[in-house]
Amino acid sequence: MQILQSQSSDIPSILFQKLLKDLGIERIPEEGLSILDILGKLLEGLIKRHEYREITTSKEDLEYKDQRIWKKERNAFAMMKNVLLVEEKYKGKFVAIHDEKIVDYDVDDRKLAKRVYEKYGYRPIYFGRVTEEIKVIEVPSPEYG
Amino acid sequence: MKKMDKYDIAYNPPAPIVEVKISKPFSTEFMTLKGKIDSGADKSVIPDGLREVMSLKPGKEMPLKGYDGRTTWKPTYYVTVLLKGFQFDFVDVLSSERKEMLIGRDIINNLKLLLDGKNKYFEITDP
Repeated sequence: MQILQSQSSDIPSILFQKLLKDLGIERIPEEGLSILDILGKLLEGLIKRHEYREITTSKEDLEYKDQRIWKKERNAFAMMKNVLLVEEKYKGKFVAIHDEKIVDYDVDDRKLAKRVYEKYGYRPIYFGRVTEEIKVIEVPSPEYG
Repeated sequence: MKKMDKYDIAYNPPAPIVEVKISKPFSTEFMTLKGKIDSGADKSVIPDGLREVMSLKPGKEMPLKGYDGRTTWKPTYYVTVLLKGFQFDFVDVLSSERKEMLIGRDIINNLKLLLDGKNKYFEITDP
């Protein structure tokens, strides 16, 4: 079995040190490092990177899933908005859409959100206002985004 | 004399910066970040990174007009905001790619804000 040591004449010292640093090896044991040690460290790094990717992906997946559900609720609201506009019960108020149905409504969206999240849990729920008026929000700071 | 806060001179020009704590609705786990007072903003804005870490769920959607005059529809997120000891529940905020929070008039208008730009001091109190 080939043994790599810092004195190895095959690998220039600086490159050897960089390789060890990249592999997370702080100190070379007295008996040197075998090819298997090096391969083991490489494999460890690959596994860590894979786990990291899995964590990142699942977080992104969750956000994507939330967005998808929320957009579905938003589309349901868009479909029913014209009907709601002629109903006194809803006109001018906020409605909460969950599973593509109205589950609650209120003139105060904060009170509504509190009530709905309490009842259905903190999940993607669309809160839409039953009005024809569109209020544009201004954040004129150039550093907004 | 009342205790006033200094402008943060790390910003150019110096800016009124406060420590803000944000949590999800009903949660007691707060995340601390810097907040920049922005009286020109109709709504407060949190960093995208914070929104992602906290797994905030979108709630409402609003047309947003930025400094360039363009309007785009953006989701908003309900959060709890703690600022100088004052708590605001179910504040719906926007999210964008930035480091600190922008504290807009949705929060400022509940408080008394004194900006002494000349002397680089500011004060936030509850009237």
